[in-house]
Amino acid sequence: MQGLRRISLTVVLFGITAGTGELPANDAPAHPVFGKTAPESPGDLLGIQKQVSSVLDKAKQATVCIVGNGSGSGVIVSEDGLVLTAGHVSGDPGTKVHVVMPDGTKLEAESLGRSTAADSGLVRITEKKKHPFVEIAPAATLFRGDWIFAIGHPGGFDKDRGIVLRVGRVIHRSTNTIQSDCKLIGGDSGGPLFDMQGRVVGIHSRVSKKNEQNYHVTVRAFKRDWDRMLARKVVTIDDSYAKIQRRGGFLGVKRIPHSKGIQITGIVENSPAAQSKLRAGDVISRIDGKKVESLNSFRTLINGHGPGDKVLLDILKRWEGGTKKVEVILGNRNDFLPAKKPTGTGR
Amino acid sequence: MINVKHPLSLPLLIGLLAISPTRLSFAQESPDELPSKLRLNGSETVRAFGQGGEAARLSTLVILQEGKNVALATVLDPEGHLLTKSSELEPKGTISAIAPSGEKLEATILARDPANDLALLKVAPGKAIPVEWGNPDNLSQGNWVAAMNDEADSLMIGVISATRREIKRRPGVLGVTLDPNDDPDELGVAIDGFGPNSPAQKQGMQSGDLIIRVQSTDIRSRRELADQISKFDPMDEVAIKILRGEEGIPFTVTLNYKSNVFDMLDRNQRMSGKTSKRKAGFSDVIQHELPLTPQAMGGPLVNLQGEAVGINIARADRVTTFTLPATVAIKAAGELKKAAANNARSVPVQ
Repeated sequence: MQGLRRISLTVVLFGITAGTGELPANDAPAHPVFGKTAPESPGDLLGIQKQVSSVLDKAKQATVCIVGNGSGSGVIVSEDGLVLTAGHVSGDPGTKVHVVMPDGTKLEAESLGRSTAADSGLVRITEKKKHPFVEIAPAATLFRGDWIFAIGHPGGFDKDRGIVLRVGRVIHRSTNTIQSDCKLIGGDSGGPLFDMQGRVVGIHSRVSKKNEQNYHVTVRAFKRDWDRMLARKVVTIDDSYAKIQRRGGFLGVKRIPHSKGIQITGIVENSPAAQSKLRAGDVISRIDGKKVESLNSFRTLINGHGPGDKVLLDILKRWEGGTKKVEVILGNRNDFLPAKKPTGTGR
Repeated sequence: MINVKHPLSLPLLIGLLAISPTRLSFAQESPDELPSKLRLNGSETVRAFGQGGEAARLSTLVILQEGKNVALATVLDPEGHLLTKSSELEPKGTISAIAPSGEKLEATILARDPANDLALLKVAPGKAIPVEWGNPDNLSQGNWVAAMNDEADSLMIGVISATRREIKRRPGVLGVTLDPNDDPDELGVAIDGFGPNSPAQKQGMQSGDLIIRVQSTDIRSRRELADQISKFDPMDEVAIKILRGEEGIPFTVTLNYKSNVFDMLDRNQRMSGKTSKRKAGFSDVIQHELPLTPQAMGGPLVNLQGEAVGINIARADRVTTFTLPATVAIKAAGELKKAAANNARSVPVQ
């Protein structure tokens, strides 16, 4: 039931990694089609075509084939040869692989870390020289309906054919995964998904039964596990959860949406919530007098305070009935997280 | 809710390529997802192709053999000459066509061009609008193109996805696997097993049979057998002599397409669903991403102006469709018409 675990985790992560302070790019492509729900004319389609071709060459120069555990794809994101790929392409940290440049040049490379939770992976080209590279988009700048393009080496490297292009739209995005209608097949794994500015927004990971429904790892998932992957760790689902760094204070409630705020479904042991005698079933309707309108607004309101800060909660008591104002001193999240499990096979 | 399974690693015989298949189980479109009509091949996006798409529709006919959809065809001229994919048409069986109006037409095969895998058909004149040819040399990667899929009124759009090039010929296959420990100095190679749809097995060959001769050449090693068989194309008849115990038995085997026998063993092909049985052996193809079915080959591929830049010739895999460039198709059509005028059933192979 790996799948279910991933999905439920995704929901949690989505909640607590929002708002890293990165701003969306302001150099969005100019053509009116990018402001429309759907293209309306051949002229609109041409607008997409021109935008893609304006960034395609640079994107292709940084896109590579990775030969090691079978054949996959990847994309160089730094001049010194750091390559983003899929975790199932990079394989175990320390694995010797080859990176094949678009002109067929084969370079020595080595797998760094990967995440088994998100299927993200890093590879380092060990040959010292200046490599062509592309920019990674800031996390969370990609939205449902955005136009994107996928490139890679489907079926393996083929010099005569070259790198293969597919154009499509974002069907859905969650923390770890972008779902798109860009068509993928074996060999594409690890290849880059680009936004219309030619920045990497995802890495090809999985296919579905439907031809025009496939999955890519988000750059947000890469950024979350970046340091540990650079340190050649295998990041697991539990690690990803523990890794979340939040500046905000910690209350210690599990929760679901409720018509009057958020409803508590569980209390972390010894947490500020437990000490304040909050109980599962209680509804938090206001924080410092501000209405709690959703899970999101709850998070924003709590995150506005650091550990040690006092917050005033309006509680609808499920068991006792009535409304109660409760003052809580927020704690430090790291004191309450479960102990880290040993991480994978870093060599 | 979508249930995405964890990436699987399947033990594979051939084609160890990285991508993880997942299965989706969902009853309907989730409200969080981009509605179908707004996706790349959703109704609204496809409509944006405009008059170009309409041009493709008006110049595409559906070809049926014995009442079954087998291919599409491109209208060449007002006289009712059509081009279609030859290898999808069996040697025997009544051919008919459906015009864009829905009218059913009788069709006859006038001539075939095995090199380009094209066939020239004839229907009643004036039933569809001839294509307006465009220049395939002006196409580059990322250019929008469109073509009809095999269902009526189903235009598909996408882009030119890779470099125009030659796709090398794939010889026919016997569909046998051979004993890896065969002694290359002794006469004959032992059959170890058969692939799915193996023509050799269909003819009655058995595991353990020794293949001792192909046509008039004696066979000693697996290498020699491969060399001899690879001289032939799919559907060629080859005389093969086997030794079963003490008994020598002659067979005539019609070689199959490699795709028909071995695709089931190739992970990417299994991931691709149905593909064309002939998807190789083209001197010049345009590659695009339109997710067409194998029964949608033979129709025109149009650019944003509605000009036919080529004729779709092979569905190769999940991400690949090949198109014969218009220049190749026009030349082939000329040769085919000449052959038909001379009552030849196929154009000479260069």
